[in-house]
Amino acid sequence: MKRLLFGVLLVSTIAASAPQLVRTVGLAASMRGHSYRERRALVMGAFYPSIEQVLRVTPPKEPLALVVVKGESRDSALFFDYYAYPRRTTIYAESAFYGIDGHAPKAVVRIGDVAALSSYGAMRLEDLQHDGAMVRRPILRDAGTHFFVPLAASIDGVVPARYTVEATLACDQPAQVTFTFRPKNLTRTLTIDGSPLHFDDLVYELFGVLDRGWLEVASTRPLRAAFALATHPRGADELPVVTALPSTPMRVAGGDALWLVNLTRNAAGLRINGKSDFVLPYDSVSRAYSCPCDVAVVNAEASVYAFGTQRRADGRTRFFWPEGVR
Amino acid sequence: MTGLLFALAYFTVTGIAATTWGERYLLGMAIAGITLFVAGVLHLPLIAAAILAPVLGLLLRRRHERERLRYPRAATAVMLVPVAVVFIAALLVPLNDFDGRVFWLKKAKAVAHERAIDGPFFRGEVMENPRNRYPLLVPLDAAIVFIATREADDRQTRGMFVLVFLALLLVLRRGIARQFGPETGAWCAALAAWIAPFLSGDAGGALSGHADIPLAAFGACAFFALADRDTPFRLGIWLAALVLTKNEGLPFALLLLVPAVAIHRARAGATLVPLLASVAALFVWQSRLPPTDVDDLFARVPLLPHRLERIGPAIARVASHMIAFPVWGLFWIAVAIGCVVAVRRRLFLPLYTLGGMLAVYVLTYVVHSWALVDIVDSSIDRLLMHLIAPALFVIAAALAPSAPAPPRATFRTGT
Repeated sequence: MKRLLFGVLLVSTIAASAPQLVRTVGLAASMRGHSYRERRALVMGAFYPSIEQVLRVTPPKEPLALVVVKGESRDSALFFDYYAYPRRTTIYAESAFYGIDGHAPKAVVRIGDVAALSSYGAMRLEDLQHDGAMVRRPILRDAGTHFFVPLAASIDGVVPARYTVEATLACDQPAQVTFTFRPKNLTRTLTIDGSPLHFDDLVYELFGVLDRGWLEVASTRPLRAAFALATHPRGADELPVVTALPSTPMRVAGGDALWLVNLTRNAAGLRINGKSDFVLPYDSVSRAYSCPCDVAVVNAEASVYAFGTQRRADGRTRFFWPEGVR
Repeated sequence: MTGLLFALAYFTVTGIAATTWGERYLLGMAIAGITLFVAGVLHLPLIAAAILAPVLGLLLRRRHERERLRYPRAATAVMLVPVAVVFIAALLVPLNDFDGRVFWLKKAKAVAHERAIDGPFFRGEVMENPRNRYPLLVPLDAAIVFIATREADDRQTRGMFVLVFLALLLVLRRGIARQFGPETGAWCAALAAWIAPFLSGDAGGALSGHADIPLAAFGACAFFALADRDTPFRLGIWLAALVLTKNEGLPFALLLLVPAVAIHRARAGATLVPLLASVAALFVWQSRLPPTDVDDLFARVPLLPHRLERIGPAIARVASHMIAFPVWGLFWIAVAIGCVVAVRRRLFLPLYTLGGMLAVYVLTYVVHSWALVDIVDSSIDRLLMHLIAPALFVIAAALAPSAPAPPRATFRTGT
């Protein structure tokens, strides 16, 4: 009787483990004839060759920032570490944490389904696109063939705030559009061929930089356009499309910071509420003024666009655009 | 293959003081791991410690009687089938489990590279070192293999882990055989060889890089050292190995220390020497490292009175795993029946060990910060593997084909 009971017990464990053992045999059989490296690729998929590729193309002593794709598990980064040791690495759960680390390694490895060399800006854009656009239905306005957007930025605030400019441009006929990001004077020309152009992060997507300034747009045909400053993940505030150089004096009704954008190649001398100031050619500066402010340009060859801003409780920005300016 | 041959030779030589091959291999791993760990804490060269370990093993050698245990060939064949499968698979399939790569063998690579156990890697200056205060015996043993083969790659240690599994089975076979006869021992070892968690590649099994089978093996050695009234010092080595293998090893060792003191009385001091040395070394080493990324369970013990409502669900969840047929077959049901028989036969040591460690695990679940279901589901099958020796012991007592009373039931009433 005891033998019978023991036999039942033994058969039960064999029955429980047999399927797993069969799978193990199958897996082992599939490995035959392959090098160990190839076997790792068979077990881990494309991730292992991608690790090897990253390690091969980067100098052995260069520290690596392993930035995990937003929403993905960190496990893959830990596996990367296993194969990369003794390479120095730092893992970032998403690009935002890399962005605020002043001592972060320069070489960025994107960790997702595969590992790939990347850049902070590219990963940041990917994260933003993962979250989706802040402006769901942009309202396009007539913008003509030449206009300015007084604020264009792709910068990080206090985590998790990230500022981008979301933009949509449309034209009924094919048009060549030239964007100039000032004061860096970076230029990019695109063609609109019927379907609207949309940007989640206009500055980075067009110019590949994380910076702040303003935008000048010139087109071969009249455009309709919408621009907004997106404060991720809070929301977005519409930016004006300035189609004509503003005449001075102009009045900014509110805000605790006054922004001055010099739209011309000439330095601008200013008087703000009776005090002297100036802005370099094409530059954009902010001053700590408690508005209302009256801004006048002293020299006739310069033109300045002024606006006020105030930080709202939810982290977004309240804008005070100048009165009487198109 | 080089790593396999080196591990086989090095650990077997280091454990030369043991009687049988299985125990020799495990004793070699224990002595080498303990020696390297203490050397690491004292900042002595690890290579010198690795050379010293076999010498220490030799000093422990003593004359022992020739043992004549003849095991049935059929049982041995049944036992070796799954071992052969995982052995071949280990040589062909690269390491692929989470803990093996993220915790255990990453530490082994770091030890082999830095030749230190509190170097930049362990201080978090190279890369993330999750569970940075986990005990290091298994990584140290793996590091010896890496250093000897001059290749810090898991292909060199795959065989080492399967050999631990085989050694565990041989220790179980002999331990049960010495109490209940060779036939019972052989069939119980065959039974253990087919338990699914031991064969897995991702949940602490022989195909993974976990330290659970080594802990189960050292636990089995300590358990049978108590059952056989082995020398107190040898028992102390097994308990020290438990402490330095996994966090669960400390309560396991302390639990087994109680019957050790009851059995050896004044001579139990020899047990305490290696045990206390390893505990002290572990705490000193841990105090040098940045805080770990896991719960400080000692600090959470005071929460116990406020979380008593989790005890019932924890026991229920653990029990549900024990009776999960696709994982354990009827094994734990048989153990439960065996426990009843053990009570009637006053076999207290296995009951005490099983009950004590299950209580430790359940209470850990009660105070743990994770959701109960998550922590139980992710760990209990591995933890139950640790209890293979006392579990098989009660099965042997109750269900094995021939189960005579233990020849000298030295632990029957005293413990």
